[in-house]
Amino acid sequence: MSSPGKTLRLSKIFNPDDGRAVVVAADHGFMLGTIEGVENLENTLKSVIQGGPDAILVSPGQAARLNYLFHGRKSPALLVRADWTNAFRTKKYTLPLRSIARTAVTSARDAIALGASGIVTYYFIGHGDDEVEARNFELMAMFAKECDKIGLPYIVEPLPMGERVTGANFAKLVATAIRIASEAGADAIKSQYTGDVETFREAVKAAGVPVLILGGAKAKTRRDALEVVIEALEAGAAGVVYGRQTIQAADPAEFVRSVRAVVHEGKSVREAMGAVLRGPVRWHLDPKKCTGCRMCEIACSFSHGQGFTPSKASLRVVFSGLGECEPVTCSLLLFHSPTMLTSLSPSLTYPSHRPLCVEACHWGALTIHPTLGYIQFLEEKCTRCKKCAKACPLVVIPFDEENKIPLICDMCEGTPACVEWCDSEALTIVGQKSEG
Amino acid sequence: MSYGKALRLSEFIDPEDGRSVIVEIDQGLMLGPITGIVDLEETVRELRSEADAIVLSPGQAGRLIHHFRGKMAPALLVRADWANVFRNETFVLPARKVRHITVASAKDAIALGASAIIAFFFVGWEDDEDEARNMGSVAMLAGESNRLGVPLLVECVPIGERITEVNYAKCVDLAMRMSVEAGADAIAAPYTGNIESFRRIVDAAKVPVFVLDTDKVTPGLFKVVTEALEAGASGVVVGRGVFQAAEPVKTLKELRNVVHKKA
Repeated sequence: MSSPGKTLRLSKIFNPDDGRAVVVAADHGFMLGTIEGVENLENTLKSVIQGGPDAILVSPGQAARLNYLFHGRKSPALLVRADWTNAFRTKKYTLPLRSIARTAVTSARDAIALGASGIVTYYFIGHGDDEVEARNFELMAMFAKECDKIGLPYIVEPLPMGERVTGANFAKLVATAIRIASEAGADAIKSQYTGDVETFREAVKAAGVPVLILGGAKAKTRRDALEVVIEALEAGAAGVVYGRQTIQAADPAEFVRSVRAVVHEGKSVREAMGAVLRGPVRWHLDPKKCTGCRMCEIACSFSHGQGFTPSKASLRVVFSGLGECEPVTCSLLLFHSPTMLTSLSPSLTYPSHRPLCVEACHWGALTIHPTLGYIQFLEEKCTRCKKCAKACPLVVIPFDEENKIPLICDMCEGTPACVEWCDSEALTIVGQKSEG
Repeated sequence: MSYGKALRLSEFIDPEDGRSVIVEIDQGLMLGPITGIVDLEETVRELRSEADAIVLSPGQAGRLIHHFRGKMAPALLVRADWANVFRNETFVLPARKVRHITVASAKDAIALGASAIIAFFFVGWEDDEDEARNMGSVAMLAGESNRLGVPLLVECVPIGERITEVNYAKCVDLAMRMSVEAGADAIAAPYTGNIESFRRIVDAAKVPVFVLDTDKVTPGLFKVVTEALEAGASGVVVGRGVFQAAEPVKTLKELRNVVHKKA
């Protein structure tokens, strides 16, 4: 059973309603110098805080200088980095490390004096010299003892680093370090996701304390990063710590909001990304750029669970037979006056922005989103009459035979898959930047 | 003021309006189970959603910590001292000799997760040695609280026969000023009877001053709080006025509306 001080302070980091936390790490300047995102840390953190993270990790100096950002009950909890290392100064940084060195930089007591709700240190494991291994362990044990006495939560970040770390033993080292840290007195762990649900589930079980994952660091797109988070949460993670991805984002507040949507609101990736929409989105079609590759159709069908099946996409590429082609989408969401190759099918014309499918549905299963303008499908009201599909003159409403529902373009709730996959930019959207 | 102190003060003094409603229910430590706080868990559960902070004795704080979990929970203030000065002739074992001792340190308060530590400064002692001892304990607490970054709230209370209606305001001023000079980060002072005299107290303090009223019930309580706020007070430290009211939650809610200026 935790001490009262630890119980109270942990509850400012991990929301008692779901036991989870969204933490932003902003201590990079301490170990790497002025990297992108920390040049004006005050401004960056002001934006981050708008997104509503549960806690922010900073160095002791910044904890003092920017202390006011943590004032008031609605502000994030303050986490202080209590140790320093040169371990991340790889060759691309100034004065790269020649040997790994580390030191404590503050005590639990000093962190308390700053108003901290917790401290974070590394636990290095994998050094060639057993004496160094023992010293690394000792530092962790000492911090744990001090934190115990003073009622301050202690978060440990196991870091396999050194001559004895290989690709093969990495995952095992992480799991081992997590358990050792927990036994030494860590109240929570900050760790890389193992990349595999089973091994991670084992590591979480063995930890016995909340495990936060380092958020999708290797993910190329936000969508991928959030998918990793969801998987880790399912495997028992208690939340996520995002560093560079947050402070280097074009809009840190928006980034944090989408992570919160996944961690605290149980939203799917699509819903979470859609949560950042700020206004109506519209298609912008440029037929001259269309190469006829039909990746848009494949992206659409795939992201709606229909496999690689162009005939199940909610948009299509129309070919003129004279070597011309263009994408045809739901016309309700067109930004500009449509063009249309009618040589293929003379009866194929764009309706004048009237939602014929919505008008055709007598059961109220189709509505138009009040502010964002795209069509929303309510499955519980659908009678499978197929009137919507028949009403669409553009023939962009196929039917999902398995679930027996129409596949109407929902703009992927903000970040259309077809746009992501269109290499030639024949298909873009206006009103929302694509995710990267 | 240290960083930790500023941060912890903001945990119960709303940065938006600089005000706070602090509910004191630590009387059990000095007076046993008085009406309204017999089942303390029940009292905390009832009042927590309308209080900015709750004062508990160290023993109860540890036991009731689960009510302080989460960002929007009230802040925990821990009582540092015990006294028998409130045990008058009607009490089961009245005080024969006035006594005042420290029961918790700033470090204890921190270990409990407290946002502040609260201690009495009594004036009106018959024996000047007792006043000196009280100053000594406040000063020690102040030093410790500085080192740990936990704010010290001093409750200035005139007691005994040397206090009269005529010298009351001056006695409150004396206690307030000595406490601030010793290192108090905030003061709880009883209302001095009129806006002018209380304004003088608030202006001279230069730290947040809460009007202290643990005795009165409505309507006296609301009159005092309204006038004190007009005189520049940062809020109220209230006790019986809430937990012995006919409707404690309603009373606290109304008090909250007055302090935080909600219609």
